[in-house]
Amino acid sequence: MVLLPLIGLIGGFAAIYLLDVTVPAAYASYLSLATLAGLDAIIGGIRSGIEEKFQTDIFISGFLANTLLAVLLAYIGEQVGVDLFLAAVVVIGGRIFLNVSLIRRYWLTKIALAKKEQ
Amino acid sequence: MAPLDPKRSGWIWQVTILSLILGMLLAAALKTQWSVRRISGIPTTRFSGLAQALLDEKDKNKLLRNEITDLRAKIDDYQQARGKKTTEVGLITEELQRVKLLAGLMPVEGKGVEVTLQDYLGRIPADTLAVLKDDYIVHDMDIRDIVNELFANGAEAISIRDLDTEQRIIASTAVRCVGGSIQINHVDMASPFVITAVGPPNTLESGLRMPNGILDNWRATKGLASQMVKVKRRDHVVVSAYSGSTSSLFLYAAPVDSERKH
Repeated sequence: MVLLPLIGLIGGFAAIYLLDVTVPAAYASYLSLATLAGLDAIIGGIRSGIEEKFQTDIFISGFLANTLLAVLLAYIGEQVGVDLFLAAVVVIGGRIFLNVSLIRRYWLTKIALAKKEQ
Repeated sequence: MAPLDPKRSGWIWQVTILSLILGMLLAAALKTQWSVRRISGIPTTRFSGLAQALLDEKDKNKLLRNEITDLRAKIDDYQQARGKKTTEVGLITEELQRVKLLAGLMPVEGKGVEVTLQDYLGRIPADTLAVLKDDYIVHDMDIRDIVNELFANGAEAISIRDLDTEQRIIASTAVRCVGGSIQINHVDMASPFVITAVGPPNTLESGLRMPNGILDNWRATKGLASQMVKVKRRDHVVVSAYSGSTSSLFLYAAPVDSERKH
């Protein structure tokens, strides 16, 4: 059950990898940003899930809004010649680290509790 | 694992769906990066990597250019060795030498002049008008003008060399400005330039120095000619052979078949 997201990840990866899909090279940086935003949304979703605060509307709107904002920043940055996408990379990267550390603590606490019960 | 409470575990399904999308994005992003690398032959798309790749390519180009020179020297050796065998072949070889001389495929030596062109090395005065700042550097048109003047005054072979390379002027040579450097025979060159010409030294020099000529009219800013241009007559100069590839020079042009024409 817990492994379902991982299976989904591999499934999606395999689907595109095996199909003959390529994106024009000009969009490569936008695609990478969207990937980062997606990773952030998933880790944020897992965190809120284990904290039992998961809300579908926040989850989906967060993913869409963050992806669009990141891509928009990158586009504007490219037009004006400033690497604005760095702002998105730094913020999203920071959040991924924060959320992963919270998830890690949750599991460590759970393991510690299970050991006590034995 | 024990089945979870469906109300509490609903989020896992939603995260799974998004994971599926993320997996697709990830695969698409990776495939795009790989294809960029494969097509361009550059191992990375990051800037520092690109700079290194450019340097590697430049080194490779230099080696290949040396190889062309070596191979051409070898061809010359073979032709000379063969030419000595019979008179018939000897005549053809003689004709071939003449044609190669004409085409600039043979190094030549003799009397001539050397013209050195150099960007102004001092500090450009602070009150210089923006339009006059171009006066202080050597432009492609300077080189074209001087080459033209030298040929007009009887130069038989001309080459241009900078610190890295020497380029023979042949029939298809273009001299043009590309960004910060000047390309001659599609090879980047930079100041200082030495234009070497084989021909009548006095005529060549006076052609450049004639009243209202190139040196006389050098720049709107006065006093730059002595700093940027030096013309020297020489009793012995060597002009190297054309060192670029000759196989790609005629992709469109073919000799006219004179029998079929009539």
